[in-house]
Amino acid sequence: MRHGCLLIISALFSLNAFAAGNFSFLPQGTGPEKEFQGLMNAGDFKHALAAWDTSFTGTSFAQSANGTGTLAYLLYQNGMPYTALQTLISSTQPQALDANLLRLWKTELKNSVFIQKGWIQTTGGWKSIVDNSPLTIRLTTKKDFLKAFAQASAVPADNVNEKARIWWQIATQSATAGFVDSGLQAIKLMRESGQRVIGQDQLALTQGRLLYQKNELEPAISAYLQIPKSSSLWVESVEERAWAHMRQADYDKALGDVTTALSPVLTPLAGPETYFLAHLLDYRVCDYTRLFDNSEAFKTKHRARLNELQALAKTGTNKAINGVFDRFDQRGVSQESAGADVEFMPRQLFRDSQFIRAMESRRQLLSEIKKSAQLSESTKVLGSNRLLERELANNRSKADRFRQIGFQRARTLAAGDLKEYRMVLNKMNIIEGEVIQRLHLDDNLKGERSKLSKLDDNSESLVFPYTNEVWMDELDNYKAQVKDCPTLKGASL
Amino acid sequence: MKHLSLILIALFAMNTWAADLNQEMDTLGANKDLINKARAIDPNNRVRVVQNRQVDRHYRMELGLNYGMNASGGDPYVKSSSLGAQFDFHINPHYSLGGRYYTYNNSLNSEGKSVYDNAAQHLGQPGVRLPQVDYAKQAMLGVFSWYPIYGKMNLLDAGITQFDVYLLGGGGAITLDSGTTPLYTAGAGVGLWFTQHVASRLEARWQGYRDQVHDGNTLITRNQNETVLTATISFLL
Repeated sequence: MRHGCLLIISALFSLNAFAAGNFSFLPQGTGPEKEFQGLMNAGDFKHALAAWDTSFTGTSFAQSANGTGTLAYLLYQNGMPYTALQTLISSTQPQALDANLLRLWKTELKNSVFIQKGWIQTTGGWKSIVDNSPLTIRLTTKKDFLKAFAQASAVPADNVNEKARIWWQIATQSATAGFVDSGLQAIKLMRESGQRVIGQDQLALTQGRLLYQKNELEPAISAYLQIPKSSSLWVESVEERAWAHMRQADYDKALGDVTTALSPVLTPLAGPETYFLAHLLDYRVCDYTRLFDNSEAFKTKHRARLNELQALAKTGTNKAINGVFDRFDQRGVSQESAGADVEFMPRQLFRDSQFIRAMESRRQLLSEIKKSAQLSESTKVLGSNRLLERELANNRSKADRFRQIGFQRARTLAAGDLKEYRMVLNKMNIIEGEVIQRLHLDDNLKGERSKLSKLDDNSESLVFPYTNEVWMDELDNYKAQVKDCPTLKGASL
Repeated sequence: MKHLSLILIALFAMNTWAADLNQEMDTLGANKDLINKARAIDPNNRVRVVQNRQVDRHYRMELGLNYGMNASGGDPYVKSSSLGAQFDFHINPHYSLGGRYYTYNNSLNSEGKSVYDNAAQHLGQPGVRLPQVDYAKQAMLGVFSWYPIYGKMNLLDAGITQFDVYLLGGGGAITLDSGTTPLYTAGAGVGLWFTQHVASRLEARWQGYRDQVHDGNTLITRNQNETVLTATISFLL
């Protein structure tokens, strides 16, 4: 513990020492220039930004690559990373920078969330430092997968995020290509690598799906159980767990999970497929009362949602989207930010990389516009540099453009959701058709059902009745006892 | 013109498509007779909530500080309150063994004061004597608790706390002004388990003992039956 603390402290100390005191490339001809270098060497970036104008306006240094790189670095350190990185990448090349300045930027590029998540893409020579261009490898044959693994191995060990991007392609394409084991291996490698591109919850969900596909249902359920309730993927994991239990013919557990997934507090997050799952489960165990109740609940809870999604897909907007986008501007893209309006948004919106990239970039730009206004007000320095002036002027229009991209993505995703509705409604209607047939023709329905199974609990458990009143701590703690379909052959246990 | 026709067709198709979706939704569960028929063969499947206890009480020691007051019974002229300490060793969530220690603070109640003042004013007159009282100084108890009922409550939306209703019984000794005498108790309480380490108890107990007072030259032994209310804040180790 003490050793760890010492290491962290010494690392922080060396990082500071490294950032401060490596600006020997700065011009020192005039008094203001010397003062500027002193501020930079001392790590006083706030005052250095204030001194930039008096030190370098109109000088050749200000127009040079090192000048641009230095100003970008100042912006980066003064809370405007998006503008800084855009300025740096669009206006400089790494080979034109002083070695010390380049070293600073290399560190920042590897730590920057905007770079690592690909929200700002590197171009030109900067690609040789971090290549975050969207990776789309098409993997169909065994040879493709082996090649992709080799490609990931060839990436330097200090760039695990780059490796992870390749492994993620393997993991997500392995199921459709029929090479599930390769996907599982890729996930294992990602888990062990310490990568930060893909969340652990996303890995667990993908692992669960691959294992489900492989028909290894118990390990799949274990993988789903690793997803914490705090994750936005949790509701999905509960639903998929229910599918796995149903495939195991463990209807008690399947109904328990379905009860959680369709609990009133989670209804805005539940998609139509959850209702289809409930339908199918009720059909399998001949619980037609519950099946028709489920139909009624689906109609009641999804009517408004369906109408709003249709409006969004048709016109590109609906009654909730402007409010939701405004909240995204304030608090970022999440289901929590969307609040009660989450049900009127496409389900994939919150994890769509294009949408998140656009909206999070916009949020950052809006914050930097505000920040630059504050700095301009207090120091009267911003706006005096032509390059910076141009970048800041662009920020507003860029932010508006990102909002438009957000609308377009939402519209596309809404159309995708409607396709899902259509498919699910068809399936639910088919099931109801089957039920009608059974109710009219199946004599077995006049027979006896099995007895209720024993409740899976122990003497230490607390057992409460299930009512429509939902206590948050009860979610995922529903246990069901389900009878089998009736049979004329006599009740079975 | 050709483009316009295409756009119109596309818009028309989109509208029809949307209408279809709503219609398809309406057809779900639309046959009411069938629903009634289905209800006749309801399997009555059951769903219950099965939760683990938030606070583990297996082989755990609970130490607490308590404050109590005499709600009824006891010496008719004395008002008593107590401060004390207690421990409970939880064998499991259903049973615990514990000890209680109380130190008492006593004063004359309003009736006692009135009788005492009246007697003091007329002292010396025939048949007038200062009333005699006996009061508790301290007590020690060993108790056994059984927790048969559980539940949970919403604490002002700040969180959910599980609780147990328990029955307790035990015995020990009480030191009175007149001397030490056996003490018996039985009662019930509520244990609120806030966190893994903080809990609280509200308890109502009967306690019985025999005290002694002088009536002139005669020593009278009385059976005392008291109802005691106690509040405890405790820490689970």
